[in-house]
Amino acid sequence: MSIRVVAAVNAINSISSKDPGPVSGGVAHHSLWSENGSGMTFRHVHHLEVYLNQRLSFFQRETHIREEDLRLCHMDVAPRNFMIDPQGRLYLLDWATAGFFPRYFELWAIEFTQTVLGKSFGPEMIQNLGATPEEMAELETLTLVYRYNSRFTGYETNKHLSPSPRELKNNDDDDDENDQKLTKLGDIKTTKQISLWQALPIRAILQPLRIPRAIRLASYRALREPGPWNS
Amino acid sequence: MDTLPFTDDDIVHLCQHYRVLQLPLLSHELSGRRVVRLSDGIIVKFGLGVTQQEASAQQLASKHVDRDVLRIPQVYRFFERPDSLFWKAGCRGSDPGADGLGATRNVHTRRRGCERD
Repeated sequence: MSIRVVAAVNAINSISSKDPGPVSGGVAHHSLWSENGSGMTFRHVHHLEVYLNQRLSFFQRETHIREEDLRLCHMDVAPRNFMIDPQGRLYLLDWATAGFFPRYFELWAIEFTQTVLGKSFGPEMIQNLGATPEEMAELETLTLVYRYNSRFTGYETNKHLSPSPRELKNNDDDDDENDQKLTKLGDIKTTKQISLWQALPIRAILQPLRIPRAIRLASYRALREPGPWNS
Repeated sequence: MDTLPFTDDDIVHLCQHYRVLQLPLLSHELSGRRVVRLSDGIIVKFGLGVTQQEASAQQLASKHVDRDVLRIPQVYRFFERPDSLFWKAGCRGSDPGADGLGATRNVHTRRRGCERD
């Protein structure tokens, strides 16, 4: 069985393309890219490289991706996604995370799923897939990207990545460089920071000003019941 | 275009009422992305998070991978319905749609109850 799965994964990984990311473009989805997906479209292999290096710079690391390395990766090779019909034919389902990436992305995804599920898929699947030492080294860099994405989400990601306009103004020397950086970063959604007051619903702000419930109810009751003022 | 015996509206209807129509649910009951068998050899995957990316990847792979090595279900149709109940309820989500055949947004909504004093 293991041999058939390895052959199947190799068959998928033999499909290549020049455009990185999901087959139809758009945002890539996988745990690797944080909960909201990659947040940007990889239109060129360079974009993918910039995305990875932005995150790796946090760990003083760097990676390089060549266009010819891009292969179709399923990114969710796990026992739950394989099916065998009564004739013994093997099927692979759930292509939601698939896209064109270097092959070590597939290997990383397999290793990641094994870690999450806490069990191994057959005997040494990654070795059976014939991972080269270079690919094994790249697995570690992807783990760093994953660690970065799980650590910095939402506001913090953008705080770390995008230089603020004020910062840009201060460095007049490398204006062009920063412009370039900004256009590169333009694809990443920036989230607007809002103050606490704006985040609170109006009711929560007015809550302390309200007449306490007991007094309110008592006054209603007093109005309804006959008293010296309406008898 | 595919030659399926269903229009998009048919599929939307079948997805919305699969429970009443007693169509077999192949996915997990609580899953956001549900898989329902419409007829022999035709299934629909629908719900939030079913994306064009998934449909096109599956289509490409099923075209290029040798069928003796690995089989991948062929994608017949993909479409999105942003105007279903889910959308009207004001819920936001990632791209809706489906593969396998077609899709709707998940119609099972939870309305926000009015707060009372």
